Amino acid sequence: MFLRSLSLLNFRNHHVVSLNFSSRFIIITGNNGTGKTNLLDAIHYLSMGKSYFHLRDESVVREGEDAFWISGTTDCDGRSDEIKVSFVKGNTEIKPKKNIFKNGKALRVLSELMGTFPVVMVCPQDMEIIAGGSDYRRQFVNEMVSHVSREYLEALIGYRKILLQRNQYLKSISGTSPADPHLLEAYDKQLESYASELFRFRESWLQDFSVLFKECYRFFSPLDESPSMKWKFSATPGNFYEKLQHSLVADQWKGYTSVGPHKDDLAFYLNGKPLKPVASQGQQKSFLLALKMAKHLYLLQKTGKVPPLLLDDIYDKLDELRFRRFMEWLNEHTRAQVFITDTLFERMKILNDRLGLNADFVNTNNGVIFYSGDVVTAG
Amino acid sequence: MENIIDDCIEMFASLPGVGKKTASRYVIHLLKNNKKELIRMYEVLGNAISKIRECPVCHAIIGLDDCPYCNQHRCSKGTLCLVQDFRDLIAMENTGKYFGTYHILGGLISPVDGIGPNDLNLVTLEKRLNAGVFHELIFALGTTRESETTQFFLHRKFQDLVQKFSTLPKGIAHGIGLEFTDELTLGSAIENRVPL
Repeated sequence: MFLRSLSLLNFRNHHVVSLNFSSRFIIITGNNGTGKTNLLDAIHYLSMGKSYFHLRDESVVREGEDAFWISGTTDCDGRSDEIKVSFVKGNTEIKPKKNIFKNGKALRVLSELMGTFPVVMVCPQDMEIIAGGSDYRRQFVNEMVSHVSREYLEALIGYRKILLQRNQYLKSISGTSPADPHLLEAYDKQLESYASELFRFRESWLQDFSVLFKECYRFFSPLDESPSMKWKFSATPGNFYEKLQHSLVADQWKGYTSVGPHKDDLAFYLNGKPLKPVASQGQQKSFLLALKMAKHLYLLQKTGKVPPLLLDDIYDKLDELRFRRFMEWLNEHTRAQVFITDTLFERMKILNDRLGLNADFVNTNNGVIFYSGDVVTAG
Repeated sequence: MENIIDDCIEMFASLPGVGKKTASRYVIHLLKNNKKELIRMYEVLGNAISKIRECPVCHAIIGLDDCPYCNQHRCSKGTLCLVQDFRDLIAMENTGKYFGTYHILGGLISPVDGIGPNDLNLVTLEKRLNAGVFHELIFALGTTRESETTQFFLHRKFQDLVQKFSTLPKGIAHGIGLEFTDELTLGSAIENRVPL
């Protein structure tokens, strides 16, 4: 799966950008703050309809402008799709509005975009998947499974909506009146049904993903290192309803629901021990890269599409050995289109020549300039 | 003068689906060229206000005569159809396939929007069900999550008062090919298929 063209209007620091890509490798160089990561985030918008960095749509509109627009053409085994995302800020007269179009047809909901153009982003902030709270790990899984299963995505959306209503209800009666048992049962039964779907998908995902992950980890580490992961489910389908009842008094006092798939965590281990306290910085980086590589392989396996990789500033964050191994994997073991950002053009030029990447170059220092080989073309 | 026009625009813009631009178009159209139309509108609406009321039993919008939607003839069918609002009642009536009576809930339970069970027309509903006239309660509340919550809640609440509960099936729209039907609707349709 290739991104053949990318056009932006008023997206973050970029005013007008129009790029066509012909190579498998696209190297984006430029000084800090010139918008390299923003180009990757724009590609992520075409994949998920939103920013990878959890930025609100309003905040990615270029300063002083009222709207942004992103357009891209993808190519998957000769089939071409055109995806457009536009957003108009609201004011006193009109509400903010985001539109997503696929081949000229407006999508009713964001979820219809899922699976069209899966991508895998790798950026410095991803260390949170290892070191941060459980929500980073759930998001990592949710995004991946949502690309391959509409059922999972619908269950996730349904679960979140009912959870929001239940929490709001608990807040509204907190300390004032007892909960209506019929209404709570209505919420709990619906949550139970969605939770059971999510549980089933998460279990099944782990079985498939673990195999791919272990293969990928071996790329960086000695054979005697044994990485693993397992779900720490907040509740299972068998005891979820009971746990909801059990925690009701506390939940009513707190005003939110304390058990369910929104509290599940994915625990990482190295040689049978929890990863974070025992692993070195290097091992954690290997673990993270292996997670991303396995995500790429999982999406490929399930969708038949080869997801592009968006690598933001990873050269600086990885040691020479890991970077070299990762590039070797990208170059020799995948057919993926790869976007790489870096501050140093010379460094990337050397990498390009050494590995024979034959990359397209984009420079963001003075507006966006596109190079194909030695020829400077349109800006 | 400006204030009067602004007030008029505000008034039209308060209607559902009408923004300020459309409201301005309506106001300018009526004030500029159509004084006769404006006066006629004033009379029709004034007449409607004095002659239209909400049925105290089923909450339909009706005239001064007896409610046509919950009269004895309709009640004798023994079925009560629950709808969210009057527009849904009209939609059901337009099918020409339903001859029982209705009850308008006036909303769906959604704490996020500040709507709880006490905001629905449940006192009158309970009173009607207690009378023992209805053997079947039909939920025609749509397929949103709020409607499913409301349906589940009412089913539990009134399960001792009615023998039979039913709901409209989710299925494929008339005249639409399968290729244009989303997976959820198609999945539901195959699960709830009917024998020939």
